[in-house]
Amino acid sequence: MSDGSRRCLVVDDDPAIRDILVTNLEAEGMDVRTADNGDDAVRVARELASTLDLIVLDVMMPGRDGYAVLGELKADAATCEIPIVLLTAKAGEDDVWEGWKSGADYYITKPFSIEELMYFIDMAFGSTVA
Amino acid sequence: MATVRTKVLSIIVLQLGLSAAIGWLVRQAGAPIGAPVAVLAFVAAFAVVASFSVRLEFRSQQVTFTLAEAVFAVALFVVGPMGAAIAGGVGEALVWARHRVRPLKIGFNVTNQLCAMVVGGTVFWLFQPGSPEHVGGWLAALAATLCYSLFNLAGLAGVLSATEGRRFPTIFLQFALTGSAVALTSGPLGLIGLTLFRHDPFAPLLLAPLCVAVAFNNRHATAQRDEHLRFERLYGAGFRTARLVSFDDAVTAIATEAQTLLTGSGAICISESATGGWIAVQVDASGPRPAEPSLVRGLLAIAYGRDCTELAVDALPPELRVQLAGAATITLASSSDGSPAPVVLGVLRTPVSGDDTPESRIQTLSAFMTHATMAVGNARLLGEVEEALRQQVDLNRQKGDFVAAVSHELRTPLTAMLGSVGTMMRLEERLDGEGRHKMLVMAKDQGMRLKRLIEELLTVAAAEHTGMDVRHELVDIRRLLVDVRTNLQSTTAARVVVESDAVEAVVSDRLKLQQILLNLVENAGKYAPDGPIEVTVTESGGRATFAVRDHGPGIPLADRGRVFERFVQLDQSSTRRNGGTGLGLYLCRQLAEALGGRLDLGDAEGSGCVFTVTLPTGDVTAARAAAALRRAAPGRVVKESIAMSRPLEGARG
Repeated sequence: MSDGSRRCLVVDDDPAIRDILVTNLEAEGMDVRTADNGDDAVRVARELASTLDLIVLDVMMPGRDGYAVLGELKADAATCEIPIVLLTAKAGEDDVWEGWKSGADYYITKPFSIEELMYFIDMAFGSTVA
Repeated sequence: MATVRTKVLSIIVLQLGLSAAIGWLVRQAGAPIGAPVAVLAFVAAFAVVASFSVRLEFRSQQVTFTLAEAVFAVALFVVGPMGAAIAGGVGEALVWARHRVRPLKIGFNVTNQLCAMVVGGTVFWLFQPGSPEHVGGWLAALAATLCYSLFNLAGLAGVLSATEGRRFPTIFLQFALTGSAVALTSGPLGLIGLTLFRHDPFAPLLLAPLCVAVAFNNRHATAQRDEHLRFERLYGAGFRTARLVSFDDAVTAIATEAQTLLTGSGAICISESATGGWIAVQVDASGPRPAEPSLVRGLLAIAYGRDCTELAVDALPPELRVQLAGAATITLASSSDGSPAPVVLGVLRTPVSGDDTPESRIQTLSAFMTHATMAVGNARLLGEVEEALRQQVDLNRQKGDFVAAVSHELRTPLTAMLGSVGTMMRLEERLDGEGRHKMLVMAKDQGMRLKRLIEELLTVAAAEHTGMDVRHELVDIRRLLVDVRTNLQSTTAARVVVESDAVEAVVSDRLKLQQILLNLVENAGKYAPDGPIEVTVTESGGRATFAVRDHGPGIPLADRGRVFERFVQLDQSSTRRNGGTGLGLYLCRQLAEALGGRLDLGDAEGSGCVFTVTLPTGDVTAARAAAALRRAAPGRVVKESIAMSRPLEGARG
């Protein structure tokens, strides 16, 4: 990563996936915050707003799901500029289309490789790091 | 009853008034009556002629024709228009007195005949005809005959329209064409006879062979035609009821066809649906409607499983009489007792419906019963096929959902497993010792989670698709609970409080029962982090109840119905932390049902929740004896134990 001061929010209800994402992003020198449900995700995103550089968001969560969070953040002027990478275990054709349609900047289906995820995250930052 | 009687009575009164008024006016104007002896002779002639009646049928409407027109044409010249009218009316009365029919029907026919003859006579008199030898006389007689015939038919059509609710013009037009044709052939026959008589009194005898031949031929033709029409109508009714329709539609169609077939004023079809309830449809002029339950019960009691019969409504029990008000008779038929698709059919007739005999109606309805039974059977079959198809479609959809859910559930641990390994490979030295250890533990945990998920999926699949083999063996409750406890994590096991003294043993499948209890206690341990987990076993009425109760947060009322569904995890994050799969309770319920019991979520007083497994205790004494026998002679019991374990149907519940 070219910029170590970047701040990132990871939203996933599965603690294992959250840990993996945090480990990888922190290894890149990022400041990583987490949330395990949709409500917390929206709250943290609003708090951090302009200081947030990226959100990695899971779709299937109890309560408010990833699509709902995405819609809310994209509708809010304070948060609509933050790039969002959507993660989902739904891999049906309709689901993939739904993901792209939803307004996410990037869309990755589970299971994904860490390299694939990091590549998309770098794309979201607008710079490529080997 | 009252309405039909009132309608017919008003028609009779109207006709009597009309004929009296016309007769009086025409008599005042000087119309002759003729010598009393001659009038009496014509009365006798009318009575005789009416006995050689010919029944014709035109588009399912039956009309009786006689040589009355011939006698009428002659009488017009011999006893004058008024004499002819009186002779016709009285002659008709004599004929009807012979028939054993209802007074109302006789009254109508006699006044109708009298009024028609008065009208015909008046028409004849208005022409002021000369002798029968002249064209003017013939024309006047023919016009009078035609008017008589048409007026007669109009009266008949009027009463049918009033009592059966059919359209008057339709019935009248159906009658009129045949009626006119008969009047214009029968009338001239009389005139020819009269002309011959004028030349020589014995000359009309020349016509006798012709009349006899025609009469015989007509009788024969009528009989054949009746039979032919009956077949044609039966075939039509059978064809129209043979279409594949829903059960209710089939019952309605049968009632409608039966009514038409017997020219009744209404009909009722009662049949037993595949679900066991009696469906009854009553049709009449106002269309089909569900029949009253009391009527259905009454008719079933009278007719079900009995031979076809015709009963006077007056002879029925009072409560049925009220329901069938307006009808004079009911023709009843039933499918044979024990038929797979029972049908009871009743056709109602008003006092003036048609002229065919009860015997012919009974025959026709009996024959139609075969069609009706078949149609109902087919409709039931169609319903069953549609239901089976619907279930298949439903099952298919469920399977699709299941596959989608499985795919989702498998992807999550797989992602975590690949992710932790991928992280280690990607970061290599950048990951410190602790971080690497964390990733390794995660990979192993997620691998275990995947393994457990796959195992549970395989068990569910086996339960759903191949059925489960269930053993019936003696299960010692105390030992079972000890086994459950040893399989638990030590922290959970320490919290389990058991109370099982009320029941010593049950006959069931030990491993399945253990699997259920283990799952329930593990669940309690997961969702209720503190407090005791109480396991109690009680027995009542041949059923043993295992209750597992915790003192955790409990399950919200809204979610209670969903806990037994596949992949439903009410609190996903905590479930995942504990490695749950969302299949546990679903599987437990499948197992409980396979054991002939059930698994329910009970009402826990205060906090927490209680799951109860209810199972039949089975014949513990016999099982103990079998176990003792097994110990005594191990070789023999192998067969017995196979016989006792049977593949369970309906494992899907």
